Amino acid sequence: MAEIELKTAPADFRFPTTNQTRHCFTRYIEFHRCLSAKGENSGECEKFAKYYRSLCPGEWVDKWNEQRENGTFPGPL
Amino acid sequence: MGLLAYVGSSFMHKCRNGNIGVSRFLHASNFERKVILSGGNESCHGHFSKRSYSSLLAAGSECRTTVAGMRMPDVGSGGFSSSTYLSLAKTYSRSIHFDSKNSCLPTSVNPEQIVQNSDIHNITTDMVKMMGDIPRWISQSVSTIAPCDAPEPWQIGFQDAATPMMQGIIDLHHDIFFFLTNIAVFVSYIMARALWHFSHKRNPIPQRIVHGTTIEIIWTIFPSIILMFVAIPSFALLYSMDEVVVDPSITIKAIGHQWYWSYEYSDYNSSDEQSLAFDSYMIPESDLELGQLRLLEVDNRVVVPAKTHLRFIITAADVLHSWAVPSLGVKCDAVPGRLNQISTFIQREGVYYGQCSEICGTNHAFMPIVVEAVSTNDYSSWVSNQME
Repeated sequence: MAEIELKTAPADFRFPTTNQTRHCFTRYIEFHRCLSAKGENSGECEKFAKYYRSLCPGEWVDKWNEQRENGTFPGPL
Repeated sequence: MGLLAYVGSSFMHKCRNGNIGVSRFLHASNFERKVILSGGNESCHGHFSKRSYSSLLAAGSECRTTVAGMRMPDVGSGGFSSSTYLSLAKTYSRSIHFDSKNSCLPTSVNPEQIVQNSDIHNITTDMVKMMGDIPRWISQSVSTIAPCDAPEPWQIGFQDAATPMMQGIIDLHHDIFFFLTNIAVFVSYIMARALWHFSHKRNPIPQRIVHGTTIEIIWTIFPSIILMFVAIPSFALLYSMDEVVVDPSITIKAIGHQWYWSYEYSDYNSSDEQSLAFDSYMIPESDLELGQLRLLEVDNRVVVPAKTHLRFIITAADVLHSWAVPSLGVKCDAVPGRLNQISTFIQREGVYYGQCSEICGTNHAFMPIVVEAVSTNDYSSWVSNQME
């Protein structure tokens, strides 16, 4: 039985309130900006990937991925 | 004065008979529910109920759960005052009654492992000292009450607290209720007295007082002081809720649909593919087994580790819902397009029930929530099992 590490996206002081919608969106954007800055194969962006995956519902992530492929993503990538 | 005595004596008479208030609780009989575990492989709708922790036990194994309820003898007016002590003890109860042979949890707990809760101990010893004629078994039965983490029939008070948040809410309620009772009794007495004396035979000449500076100052200042006593604990609790002190260890997303909840545990994803996500449908009444709770049981429970800082992200996929679990002191609206965050820390293992709390259509009453808090090791093994 593998020991699961209990770690998740930390509390972000930029988003102290109950509404975490912007937190999830910001983490997603940070990940993709990191990818375009550091390259796809760099392991440094994995941290941001874990954060947005923990916070954002799967449906939202799928929808945004699709929008990125279509070029219609509304955020500042 | 006669009126007050009459009301008091009839009220006490009803209390003694166990028809109203807390004494109604105390005349409920103590009963056990025998739960036969289904083993988790069959379920309605083809949903595998392998998500709940208890499904890891062998199918067909029996375990017992004890439901809260004590039998109290009718000890006259002394019984009324002891009933309030017992309701206090029940509220502060932190001990779970484990029958070590037939425990519902696979790791059996010895009675010695249950830490004596000093609050209960103090309350019960005080109670025994105060009323020496009450039999000893009452104080013994107090320490083995099963926690009330689901609604009970005819329940009046809160469910037992499992988080510091809920305990704070209950304490605040007790604080405010004291002042509330004082004000209510005082106002009712004044009103009853005024009505009683408003009679031509008893008071043919009415008073004609118009001013009275001293009393007017008193009845302005005194309510402000009472308001201060009410506001101070209230603000203390409110502001302590907002303090984010500790980073959570786990994030669980609860997504409301019409008419079920789905949960995602995405901390263990290695890609955008969800590795641990499941739907949680209510078990219909026709599929319930003996001992299960009607309209409250689900096929896949939310398994979480106890004594760990949790973050719940609540949202909805279609219309407004609300994720509420009274024992944890949690109620959070699920709004489509918005992520609401709830931090919680469950202090004891157990199974906690809740229901959707925002009208969401025809089956709004039939999408309950069940949170199962287990030890950290058991949680790790459950996650490993689910990810396979």
